Amino acid sequence: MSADGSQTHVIFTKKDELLEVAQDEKKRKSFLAKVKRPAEYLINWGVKSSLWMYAWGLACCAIEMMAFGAARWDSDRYGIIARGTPRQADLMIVNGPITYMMAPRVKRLFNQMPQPRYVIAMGECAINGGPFWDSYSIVKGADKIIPVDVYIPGCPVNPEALLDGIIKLQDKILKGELAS
Amino acid sequence: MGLYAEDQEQLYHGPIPYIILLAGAAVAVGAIAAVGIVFSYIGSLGPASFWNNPWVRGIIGAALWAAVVGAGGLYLTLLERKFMARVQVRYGPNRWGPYGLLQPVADALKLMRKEDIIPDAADSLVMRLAPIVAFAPSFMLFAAVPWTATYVASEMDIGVLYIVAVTSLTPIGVLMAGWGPNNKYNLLGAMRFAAQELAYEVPLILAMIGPIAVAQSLNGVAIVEAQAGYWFGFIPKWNIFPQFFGAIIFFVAFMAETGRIPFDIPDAESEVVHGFTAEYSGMKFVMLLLLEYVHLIAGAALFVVLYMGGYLGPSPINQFAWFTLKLLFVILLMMLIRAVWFRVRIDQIMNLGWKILLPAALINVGFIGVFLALTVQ
Amino acid sequence: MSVNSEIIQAVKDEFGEGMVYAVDRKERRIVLTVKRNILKKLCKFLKEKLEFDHLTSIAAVDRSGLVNGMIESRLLYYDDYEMVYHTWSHSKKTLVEIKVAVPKKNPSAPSITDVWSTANWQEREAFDLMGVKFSGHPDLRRILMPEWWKGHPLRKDYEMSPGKWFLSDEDEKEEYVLDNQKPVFPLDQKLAENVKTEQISEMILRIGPVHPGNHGPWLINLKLDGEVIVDLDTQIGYQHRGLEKIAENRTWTQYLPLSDRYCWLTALSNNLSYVLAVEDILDVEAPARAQYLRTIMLELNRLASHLLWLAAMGIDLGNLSGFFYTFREREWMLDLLEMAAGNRLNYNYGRFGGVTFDVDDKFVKKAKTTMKIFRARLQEYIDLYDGSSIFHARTKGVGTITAKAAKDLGVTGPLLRCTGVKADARKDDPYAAYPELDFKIPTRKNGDVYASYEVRMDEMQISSEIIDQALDNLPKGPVQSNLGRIEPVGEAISRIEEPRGEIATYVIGDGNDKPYRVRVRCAEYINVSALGHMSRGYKIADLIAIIGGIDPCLGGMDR
Ligand code: SF4
Repeated sequence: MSADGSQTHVIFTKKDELLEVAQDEKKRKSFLAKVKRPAEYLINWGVKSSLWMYAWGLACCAIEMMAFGAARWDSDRYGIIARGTPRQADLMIVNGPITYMMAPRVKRLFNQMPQPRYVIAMGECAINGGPFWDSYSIVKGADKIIPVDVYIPGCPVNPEALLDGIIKLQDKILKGELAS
Repeated sequence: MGLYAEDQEQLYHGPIPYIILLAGAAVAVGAIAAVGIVFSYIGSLGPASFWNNPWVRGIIGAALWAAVVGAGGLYLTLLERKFMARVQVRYGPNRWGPYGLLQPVADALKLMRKEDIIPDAADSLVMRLAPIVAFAPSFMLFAAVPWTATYVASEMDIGVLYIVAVTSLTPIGVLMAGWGPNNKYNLLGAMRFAAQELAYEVPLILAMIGPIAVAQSLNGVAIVEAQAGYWFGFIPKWNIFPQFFGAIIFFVAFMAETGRIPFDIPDAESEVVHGFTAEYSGMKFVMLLLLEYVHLIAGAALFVVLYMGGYLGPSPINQFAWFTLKLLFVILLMMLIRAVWFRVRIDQIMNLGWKILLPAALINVGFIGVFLALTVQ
Repeated sequence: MSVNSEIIQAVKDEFGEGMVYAVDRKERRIVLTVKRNILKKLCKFLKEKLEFDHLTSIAAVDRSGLVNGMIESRLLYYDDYEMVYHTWSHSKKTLVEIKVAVPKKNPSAPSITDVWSTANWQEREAFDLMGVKFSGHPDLRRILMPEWWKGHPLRKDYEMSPGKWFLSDEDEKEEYVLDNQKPVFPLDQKLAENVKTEQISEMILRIGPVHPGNHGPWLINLKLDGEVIVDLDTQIGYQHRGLEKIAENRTWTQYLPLSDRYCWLTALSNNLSYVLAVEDILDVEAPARAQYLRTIMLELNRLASHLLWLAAMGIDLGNLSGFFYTFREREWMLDLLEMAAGNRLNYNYGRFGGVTFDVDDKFVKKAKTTMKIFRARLQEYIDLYDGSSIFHARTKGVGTITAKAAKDLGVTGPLLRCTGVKADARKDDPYAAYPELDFKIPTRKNGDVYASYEVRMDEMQISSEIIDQALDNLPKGPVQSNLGRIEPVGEAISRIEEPRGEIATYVIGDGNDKPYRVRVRCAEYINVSALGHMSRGYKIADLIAIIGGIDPCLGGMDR
């Protein structure tokens, strides 16, 4: 999981690359990193298959998040359950506007989550302030304070859309390209 | 289930689902029995003296229990999620592996990968030790529980007494888990756990006296063997029938000891945010989480041994399968209770423990004593 | 003589002809303009002699930007700021609006907390957002904005510059921001003189801002003796989005979708309360079909909201299955609402003089089936919740509040009706198609969490019956009236019974295409202010049940 998300997935494209890899130390290292992939893949599969989300609610989209966990959409099918403490959560779904008053706390909650941790910005508010973009008390997007992996537009975001966003996140986890 | 209200009127889909369910259950029973046959075949190899050697029994029994409780505890989470989901009109885990069977594996992998946080302000030694101190005793208790007449890790004569002694160590670990992380919710949860454990330990032990008195022994196997035979040729001589009240007291008390709904105040999510596990992450959390499930298995196993005739049962199914089935039955019963009941409050729990269960258990012991004194002569 | 003129006469008799400028606006609405010095006396008189026992809202208005002088009363006591008090009488079923002019330089007004305790939080809000000081207020702190905030946002000359906000990685600063808000425990102040000698073993526990039992980000500072709550102080404002200010930067119509977002669970009531207020100023009425559709949707919304409350109650009290069952039915309600309005949460369904979309026969048929099945399912919930003795033990006698205290604290909705007061804006102050429908208002006597549970369960039953009736009588015709450009001049207040209580929107228009001032009184905000009164002396676990019974919704609390 590199910080800048610069990993490629094709091992070699050209013949000469093998030579280059053997000579260049930087490339050699990245090649070795790729050899480690099967183990990493297994772990990543485990991580993506049991994303426990942090059970909190900020605004309207939180209700849709609850609906996503309830009977019709049943997030438990994907192994996603809600935990009430950030220490045991992997996924923080920012489901509403963040006020300046709340912002330090959101940041602290994010810091309290153990690695690996992921953030989904759910809804317009979490993306850029949404309908409250010109308010005096709203932070213009969750990514101003914490790194965000997946953005899901919508106001409110439907549970289907949330599910889609989570599947996108799972793909990203499996490939190992993440923001945080 | 249809999405719209019109579809909701046709909830009955004909008999086929039920037939499939019954067939599945039969296959499951068969599989368990087959495992039992394999075990008894292994047991019949070699001379009897080899199997009666305490070292051999100890090692094999411990390995068996470790495997069962470790994997079982893990898969119990899946069973619980699936079972609860079915009660709650949804599916439960079904994406990773067939029928979601790989879900616990994924959970374990992930939890192993998680960062293990020790907060700055924590008492780090206590916080590190706590899961071990809490977890080990509940594991040790299986040593004296007989799976079959042969497969018991240590057939000690003070078996039940040993179990009682060992279980009372768990609250120490939990209190450490409450103190170590320097978090008020942890502390509250741990205090609640300790108070609850203390209140229910006494009725639990008193309820054990009934079966012990009938068997005239503290040995697990002897207690089971004392329940052999039938009344009128068809009612098994299980303790649960004559000592129904004792059984209920025991059931309630061990439910409280496990700390599950309706007695889950130590880790009530909406009150104390998972209580004494609030600050734990990664593998330490796994140990504290498994604690609950190990407790569950232990309580159910004890209930089966003391009141439901342990591994005894008519012969087409072997002892191993009988014990497993009874164990599963008790566990599922507890899961059903968890799915539909509310959580009680701390003072109500204390009231129930000290003011109702304790006198009831004492009276129960008195009755059994009188009854035995009259009949045994 | 009508009720209105009787009241006006009584007030004039008491204070003298020249001291009060009274306008009989229309049925159930009176406007009194007075000077600051008799405000408190007037309030006391209204409460004690004329039975105005419910303070609806306190609004502070910055009138310095107002171009068109509007109502003649304004000319009497003119100043830059104005405090507007709305008080409602449960027995006379009339709303009195009291206006008091306040100078812009050093704005201050007498506090009326000792007349109606509910004024406490409302005055704090006026102080926070408008900077009006209240002399004699027990605890004048900011409430919606953080302590470190500079300026008062609702003033017209406030510069909306988010650049003032700071949050750096330096820890000290973060600590400063986090720990800046010190709890003030009400009892401390009262008992400060008496109880200093003996320190009980007290622990301060902070529940929140994010806690599973809180239903959203707000903070409860608990002072505990063991597990027993000695005192508590609430901190809200974590979701304050400044909607009242945003309204001033949108056109009348643009603000419609935003008015949904006060409280997302009762979006339709919020939206319609804004619509009704504007319609009141414009003096238009929606066509009959639109009125019926509004009624149906309001009741569907009430069902959805109550079902969510039931679900949350289940989780709070440890019953997980309750959550899943009730969400199943909630989805049906949302399906119906989505079918009509096109959205699952924030419907944006109201229009000035009508509703957005018409419904077709398919909707009517489906709604009827749903209601039929829903009533059967409701019985299942009663079996699941009421049939459990633990539920009884957890809720009976918990969070008890008397009718007198409830009125004094301004509590509305099921929480008020469970104390035995039959107050419901649907009957008392009718709107939409309610006057033409036949329905009952359920009440209970005990005033505890269980009573409020029973009231809500009855309400669900009645709501489904109202929907059936309205569907049967649905008239034909248009659902919108063409109003042209919307530039209302004047002011009005509307009251609506939302699932949690009374929502009142006070709107001022000055002939511009934008509202001059929109002020909302949300039921949740006031109900939550009664939490301290309801939960002292109970245990932590009870607090969760009480919060569940109050059914807070963060959007409505913080706006
Ligand atoms: S995106 Fe829309 S629905 Fe979601 S929290 Fe923001 S305003 Fe509410």
